[in-house]
Amino acid sequence: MSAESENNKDTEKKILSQLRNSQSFEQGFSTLVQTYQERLYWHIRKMVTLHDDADEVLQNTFIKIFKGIKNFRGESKLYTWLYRIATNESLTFLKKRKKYATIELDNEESGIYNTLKADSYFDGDEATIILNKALETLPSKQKQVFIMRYYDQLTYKDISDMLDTSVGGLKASYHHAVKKIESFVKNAL
Amino acid sequence: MNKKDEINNELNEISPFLSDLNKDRKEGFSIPKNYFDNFENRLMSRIREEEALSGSKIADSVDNTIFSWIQNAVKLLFTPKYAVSFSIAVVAVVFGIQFFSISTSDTTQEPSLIAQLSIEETHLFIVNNIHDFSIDDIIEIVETEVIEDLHIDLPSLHYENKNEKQVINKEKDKQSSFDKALESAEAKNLFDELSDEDFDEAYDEGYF
Repeated sequence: MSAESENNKDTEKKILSQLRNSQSFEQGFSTLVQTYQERLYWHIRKMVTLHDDADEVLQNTFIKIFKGIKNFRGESKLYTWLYRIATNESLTFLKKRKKYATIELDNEESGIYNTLKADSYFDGDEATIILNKALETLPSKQKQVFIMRYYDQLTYKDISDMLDTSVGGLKASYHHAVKKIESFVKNAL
Repeated sequence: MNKKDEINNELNEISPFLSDLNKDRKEGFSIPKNYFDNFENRLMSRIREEEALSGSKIADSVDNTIFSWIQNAVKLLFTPKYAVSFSIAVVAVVFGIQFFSISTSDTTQEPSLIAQLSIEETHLFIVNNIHDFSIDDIIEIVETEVIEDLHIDLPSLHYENKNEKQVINKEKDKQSSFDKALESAEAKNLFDELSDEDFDEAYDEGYF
């Protein structure tokens, strides 16, 4: 086991131990937020794209964690559980956004292209915009798997625990996602 | 081979083109200054606001539960099974209240008037003046048998079948803490979030 992995395990243990004691619960929750906020934020940001949306989803995620953490007994990795809640919250948000969206995402002159251009918290180049545009064309499950593997560098085992999907299914999803994005980016560049 | 090498090799096999692109997820994306330093304070303020809001909602709900409990109790007490004994008890309580207030008021005639009321008139009197009765007054005159017949969820008088509770507890123990915690966090199954389009695509790709 690597030193990083050992360190993560110790941090999880310490947080869970603080959370189980009502006197140290607030301190434990504070440590949890500080430890995982950044990792969860970037996972969510890749899913929802805009900072303001990511901020809202991150807050909703931690509120759900706050409500449910007392029932978490540590049979699975804490981070796996947190990640799963963040993913679910992002999906719920995307579903709502899709429902109320008035823009056509497949129109190059609008959709994600213009949204990113107008976002004050985005200053990426054309290639980055195209990559993100390609991401938007994927079905939500493939998009999740691609983000978790390509950007977050997670193992299939961890993704499988988070999404409750078989490793074989995940490998197939990732393969299809990579091929679709490659084709989209090659055509766009 | 470490995890990162394994992931990079896999990507290189599927798409050498994509493997050469920059994979930093933060590429091009920025955040407001001190965002993570201030996030926890903003989060805790929102949690406290929501707790305060849900606290007042719970209080409203308890008030409504108690009021509907009293209404149900009064309705039940005027069924033939309980009507006679209840009307006697009500008259006794009302008479008792009035008796102790005789020295400070001039309504000395009221106890005897109320004592002369019929069951229907007593019913009407209670329904019209339901807010003048305290919960203690009602509980005092309602027998345990009546409470059990009501089968209602007054917080302090929660009625629950013991066997039923044991079965539920056993079922709950079967769930993993992971799922329990997800459930209490109100997180939904991911499949619920998939659109028909996702399922169609998965079907086309031979997942089912």
